Amino acid sequence: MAGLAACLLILQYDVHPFIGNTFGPLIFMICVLGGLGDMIGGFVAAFLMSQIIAIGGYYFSTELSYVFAFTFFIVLMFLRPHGVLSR
Amino acid sequence: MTARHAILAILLAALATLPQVVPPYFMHLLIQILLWGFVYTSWSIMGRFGFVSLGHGAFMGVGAYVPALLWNYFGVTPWIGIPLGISLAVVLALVIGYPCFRLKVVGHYFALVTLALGQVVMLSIVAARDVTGGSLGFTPKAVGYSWFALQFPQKAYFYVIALALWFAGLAVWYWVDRGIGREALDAISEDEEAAATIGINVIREKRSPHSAAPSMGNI
Repeated sequence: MAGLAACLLILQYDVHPFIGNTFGPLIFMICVLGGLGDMIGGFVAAFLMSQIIAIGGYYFSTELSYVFAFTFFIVLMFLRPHGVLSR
Repeated sequence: MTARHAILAILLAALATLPQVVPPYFMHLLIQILLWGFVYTSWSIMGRFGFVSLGHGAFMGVGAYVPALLWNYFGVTPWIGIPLGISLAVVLALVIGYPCFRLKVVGHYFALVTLALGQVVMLSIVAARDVTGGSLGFTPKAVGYSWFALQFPQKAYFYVIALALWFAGLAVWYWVDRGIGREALDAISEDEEAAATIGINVIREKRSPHSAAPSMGNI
């Protein structure tokens, strides 16, 4: 499935041996935000993070949008340590 | 014990006379080795108690940029700037660490929180590129030979500073080792362990980056 996602992504990004470094930390965040091992949680978390990055990038600069996304991640880790859909 | 002390004394004498006999490139390498050894020691003080942090670079960044910014923009001497940077990094560690250990964010989640912290600090420094120079980095103003600004034309001074820092790092390691000692992975003793550990390691590794920056600027 990761291969499928990568195939879809290269339509928008270029291909070089270091693509993974760009997405690495962000992917870790989204997986952990969704809860480790929770598929639907990962889905929800991915949409959540991408909306924050996109909307934050619209109102502030693009790099600051990532800062907001990661700060949101830290705060949410304090509130829901086991992922967004946990109880 | 005396044989071990004799060997240590001989090694110390050899290390002390090294600056005279060694070409500048090797000196540069040695300073790098000592400084990075110091940083890794501070990281592993935290790691050995089970708190793997992937965001140690955040503390290094804060500790390096605060004295450099203060020196370039306000002329504040690094003798004041470095303790200020250390205390700011400690504050950052406590702000992140205290809620983590109150709310039981440990293990994999803690590693990811520190990774996020590292990314936040790096992106903030890059985003503020009018002030901090962004991705191009930040060089302290060079004034040549000055104790006030901690800048020296020869590398031997930096070598001595790096050596002293490295020994200080080892001393902190031994202090932590003898003092707390056991791997307190119980949930009960984790609380006071964890906060203390984050604070200690952040304190120690702050002084290294500012020594590195002027040495680079003076090549």
